[in-house]
This record gives sequence, structure tokens and C-alpha cells, in this order.
Amino acid sequence: MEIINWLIEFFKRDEFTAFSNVSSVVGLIVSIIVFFRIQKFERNYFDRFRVPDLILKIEAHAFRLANNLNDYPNFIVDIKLELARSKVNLESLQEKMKGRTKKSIKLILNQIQRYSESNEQLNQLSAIKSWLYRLGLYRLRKAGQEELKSDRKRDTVYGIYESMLALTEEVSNVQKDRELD
Amino acid sequence: MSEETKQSRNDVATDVSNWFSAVIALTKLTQTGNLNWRRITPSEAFRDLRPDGEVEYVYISEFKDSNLRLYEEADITVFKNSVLKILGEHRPSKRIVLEMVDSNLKNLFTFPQVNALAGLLSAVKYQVSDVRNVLDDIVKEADLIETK
Repeated sequence: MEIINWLIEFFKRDEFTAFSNVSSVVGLIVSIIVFFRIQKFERNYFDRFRVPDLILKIEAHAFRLANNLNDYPNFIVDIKLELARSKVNLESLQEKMKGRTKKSIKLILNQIQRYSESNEQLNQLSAIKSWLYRLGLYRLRKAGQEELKSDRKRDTVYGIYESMLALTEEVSNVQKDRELD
Repeated sequence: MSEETKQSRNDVATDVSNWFSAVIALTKLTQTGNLNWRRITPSEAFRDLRPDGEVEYVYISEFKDSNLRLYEEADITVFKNSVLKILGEHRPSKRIVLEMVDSNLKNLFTFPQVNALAGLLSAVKYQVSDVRNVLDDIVKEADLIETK
């Protein structure tokens, strides 16, 4: 019983209250430092391992797009698949990037979105056209006009390909700058 | 890093971006059939200049008044600084080289190393191998057999 009384008295003493106050403040400061250290560690981990990995993947997507552009009309499906795959990696990179690079990624994602949407619309349109054609209400367009449309779509893919490669160059340069800093 | 260094890096980046766009334009011209390439076996003199590098084929094209040469060679500089060398690995990485050459195929200028060169080489190989025509021939041949 005596011990308990002694402990209650001890904790009521002013010195102890002052000590506990100081400890709380020190604890808070240490927690803040640890928090920022962890964030820095995460950032470093992302910069050192994840970014180069994503850059390699995006470069590989770009290379496969270039390969598919060798015969655009026969590889339209592969191009669509490749763009869908690259979108995932671009979004992962976008989450962790800042400033100009983030904007560049957003632009590429918009380009991919526009390309996919126009393909979707084109598919719906050609379905309607073929239905109207069967009913004898639609005349097929001249081959030249179709080719022009295809050329424009191929140019969009070239634009995406170029932007992807430019992005990988840009991020590699940012990485090198960070390493030098 | 000083502002000056950053500025010079930005200038270099802009220069590289011009070369980069040029290489992509060459790729597009090749893939659309507006730029034609031919494959040749490198001359002895060419091989002698690259004692460590293995250059299997060289691709040549004429663009307006200039000649372009494209090939893939072993990147000895990377190999020399590589851990692979210490580990006894004898497989150096490859480097794609695009040059402007004169009519005697002497080097006039070498393009900087940009990541778009891989796409150009792939387009050139595709064009030179004539894959599209080979595929058409295969399909035609199969159709002929079916009709018989």
C-alpha cells in the first residue's frame, strides 16, 4: 500500500510533470522526423528502383508500337492492346511524378484516350454503315477517303510513340539531375 | 548542381530532341515506303575500324542528296565499365549507329545516341526483309493449292 501511495505522490510532483511535458514534445519531434525520413526513403526507393523499371517498360511499349507501325492496317488490334497496356504503366508513373513530367504523362494519356475513343466511334459508325449498305441506303466510300482516315489514325499513333520516347528521355534526365544534386 | 550546368543540360536536351524527332521522321518515312534501304555486307576496311565490334550487316539509304548508314555494333565502352567483364561475361551490349556518309561510304557525321534508333532499325529490317510481300506470296500460294 505504501508503495502505491509513494507512486501517486511521485507522479503528482512538479518535476515529473515538467519531465513528461518535455518528453512529449521530444517524442512528437522524433515522430515528425521519422515520418519525413520514411517519406524520403519511399521517394528514394521509387526514384532508384520503381522509376527506372517503369521507364524500361514504357520504352518497351514504345518499341512494340514502332514494330506494329511497320504494317499499320494489319496490326491495329495489337496497337490497341499495346496502348491499353502502356496506359497502366503511364498512370503508375504519373502518380509519383511532379510538375512538367506529370503534365507530359497527362498529355500522352489524353492522346491514348482520344485514339481509343475515335476507334470506338469508328467501329460503331462502320457497323451502322454496313447495316445501311445491306439495306441499300448507303454507298461505300472511295478507297482514297478511307486511306486518308487510316493515315490520320496512324499519325496519331506516331504522335503517341514519339511522346512516349520523349517522356522516357525526359524522366531519365530528371533522374540524372537528382543523382547529381 | 549549378544553374549554368542545368542550363547547358537543357540546351543539350533541346539538341537531342531535334535529333530524336529526325530519327522518328526517318522511321515514319521508312515505314510508309518513302525511304528505301538496302542491306550490304560491311567492307573489310569498315570491319578493320571496329576490331572489337561485330557488325553483321550495314543498311544504306539515300535521302535527298545525302547517304545514310545504319548498323548495330557491340558497345565496347559499356562492356569495359561493366560488372559483366569482371564476372567473365563475354557478351557486350549492342549500340545502334546512324551516320551520314559520302558517296564512298566514308563517315561525315554520326547521329547522337537516342532511344528512337531502335525503332528505326526495326523498321529498316522489316522493310529489307520484305515481310509483307513474302506473306502475300504465302497466302497466294495457299489459295492456288486450294483452287487446284
